[in-house]
Amino acid sequence: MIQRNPANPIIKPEDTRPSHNRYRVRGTFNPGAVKFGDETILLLRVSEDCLPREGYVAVPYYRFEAGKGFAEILEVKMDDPDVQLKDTRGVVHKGKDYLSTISHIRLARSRDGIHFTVDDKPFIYPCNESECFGVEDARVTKIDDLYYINYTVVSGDGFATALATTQDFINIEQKGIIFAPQNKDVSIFPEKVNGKYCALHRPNNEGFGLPSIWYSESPDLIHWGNHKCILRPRNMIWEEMKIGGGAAPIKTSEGWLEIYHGKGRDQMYSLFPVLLDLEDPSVVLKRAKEPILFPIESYETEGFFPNVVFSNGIIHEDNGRILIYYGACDETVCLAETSIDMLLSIL
Amino acid sequence: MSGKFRHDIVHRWEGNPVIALDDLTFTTNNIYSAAAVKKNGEYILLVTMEDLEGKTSIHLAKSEDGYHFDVEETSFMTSSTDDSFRAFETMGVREARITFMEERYYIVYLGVGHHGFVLCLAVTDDFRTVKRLGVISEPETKAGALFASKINGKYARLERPKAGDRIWMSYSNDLLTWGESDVVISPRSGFWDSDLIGCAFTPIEIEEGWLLGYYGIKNTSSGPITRLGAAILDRENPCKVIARSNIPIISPRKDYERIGDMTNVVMSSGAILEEDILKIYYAAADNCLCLGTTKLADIVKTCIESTKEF
Repeated sequence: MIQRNPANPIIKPEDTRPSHNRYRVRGTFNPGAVKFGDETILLLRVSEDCLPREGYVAVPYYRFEAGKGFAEILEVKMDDPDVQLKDTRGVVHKGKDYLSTISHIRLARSRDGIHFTVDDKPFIYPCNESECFGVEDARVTKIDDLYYINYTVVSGDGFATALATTQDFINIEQKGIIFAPQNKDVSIFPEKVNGKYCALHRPNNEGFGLPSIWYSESPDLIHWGNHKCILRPRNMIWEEMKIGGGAAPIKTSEGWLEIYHGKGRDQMYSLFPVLLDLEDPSVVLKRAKEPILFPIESYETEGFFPNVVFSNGIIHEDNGRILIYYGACDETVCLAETSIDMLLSIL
Repeated sequence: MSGKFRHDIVHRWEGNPVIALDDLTFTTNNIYSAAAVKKNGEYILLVTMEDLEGKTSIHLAKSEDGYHFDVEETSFMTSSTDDSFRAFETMGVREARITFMEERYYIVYLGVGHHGFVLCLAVTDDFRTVKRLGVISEPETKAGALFASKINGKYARLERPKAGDRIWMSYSNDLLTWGESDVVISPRSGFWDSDLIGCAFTPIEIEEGWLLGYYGIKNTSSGPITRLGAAILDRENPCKVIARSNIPIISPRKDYERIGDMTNVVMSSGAILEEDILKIYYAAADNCLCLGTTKLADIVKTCIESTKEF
């Protein structure tokens, strides 16, 4: 049904240069994916922490100046009275929160879709206070001749979703926040349906059931409305905690095919296909009862955050072949292959 | 409360409360805040009430003088049975804010349903019939209010996403789809509004920009205290705070503001500016609706003379 590539993981943290000489790359994962010319481009999430020094706490942070972000390090002695150690995720210094690991988006390029070269420079780097804890999990949707990139911005408010566009994967135009906190896992459809742009998104309806997949419409990709909750986590171990959308939905003869993730028991992530109506994508036609991918291989079960397979980047070819790029353990990029026919047959 | 000093910029009406549970011709559990507008010389409030079951609905109240109101027993808005809205309003509708814009009365209200709190938009021309236009936010979002005029050619609104406990704003071309979201103003550590803030009454356009009335919460060991404060936002870019009062304009002090289902709450979602006097209708302790008045100039002065602590 689905074949993991024998070369997995195809991108590892050690293949990537840090964005500061005292940063260390901890993860290269959760890539957006797109065909551009004769290249496959992945938009990697690169997570970084600081190289530790004996007796000191060192955490990375971004300093913002004139709409740009600069990599900085906060380094204080362990016994500094101004520092409070939290857990492994961060520290509080003079009342301000710092995370031990923060992310930006980097491009990786390949001719064969398997062997990638990671750019030395960041592609999307945090640039304002709404991104002070990083930018994560980019998704690419090509509409007409423009590539729309949505990504998660992280700050003290939690997470929100921002939009940017590019034509050449060199220059990028920021479009601001399209889904206010808490909202992520946004998948933008590659064409208008009934005259409207459409997207899946995942608000955090905390206290009123589990986080679910919603559907929205827009006249211009910037302003969104007509929100509907269309997929809720099911009472099964795979979806016990929450679900969220993946890459841009794929148009098939039978409907819009989306591969979403479930977060289940013991924080295990898995991937499921779902089919949405072609004419009204807020209508769910079919939903797989079993995951098509869940952590089995050692690179999926052991790592920075164990038991995670998470996909926000899919390439589908004219012959129906589907390449699922996925992050394993918040650490590496892996690849699995299937086809549209195969996925439709199990739905 | 000591009579020696004046603590609040807002003067309480001596006849408070304006609407108490005993004034009603029907039984209800609670009175929450109210939207307020003056139409053809008549004062109109849209008052949120919680019934004995715990569901909220919005009731119309009218007055000739702004002090003595008749409250309609039949609700003006209650949980919708329409397919597009039903799931968003199963537990009720509440916290309306009215904006008079383009000769119509727009109402942003809170839908409470299966999915949490969302902002919804409705419109009325006559306060007899009301038309729902759409669900305009994702959960969890509260305290929504439309600005009364377009800003840089777009409709604009304030909102409070649950995450972050601060006031954001978004823009729209059609009132139904919203984006370009950004932070307007945040809680201030060490102040009376240290833990959570949200828009109170609909922003009012004044000479200096937009007057923002907001509620601020400070958590204490005996529970939260909700007070009202004010700030002035830039006319062209409301994310730019021009001035902000360091002190509240009114704090819970009277028994009716301290004792109720929610203790120590003054919370407004409606005010009316008449010449230079601002009439603020505010809910007290989730128990009754009150009126406080002040000179607009006094609020502006308090904002501008405060040290710059945004």
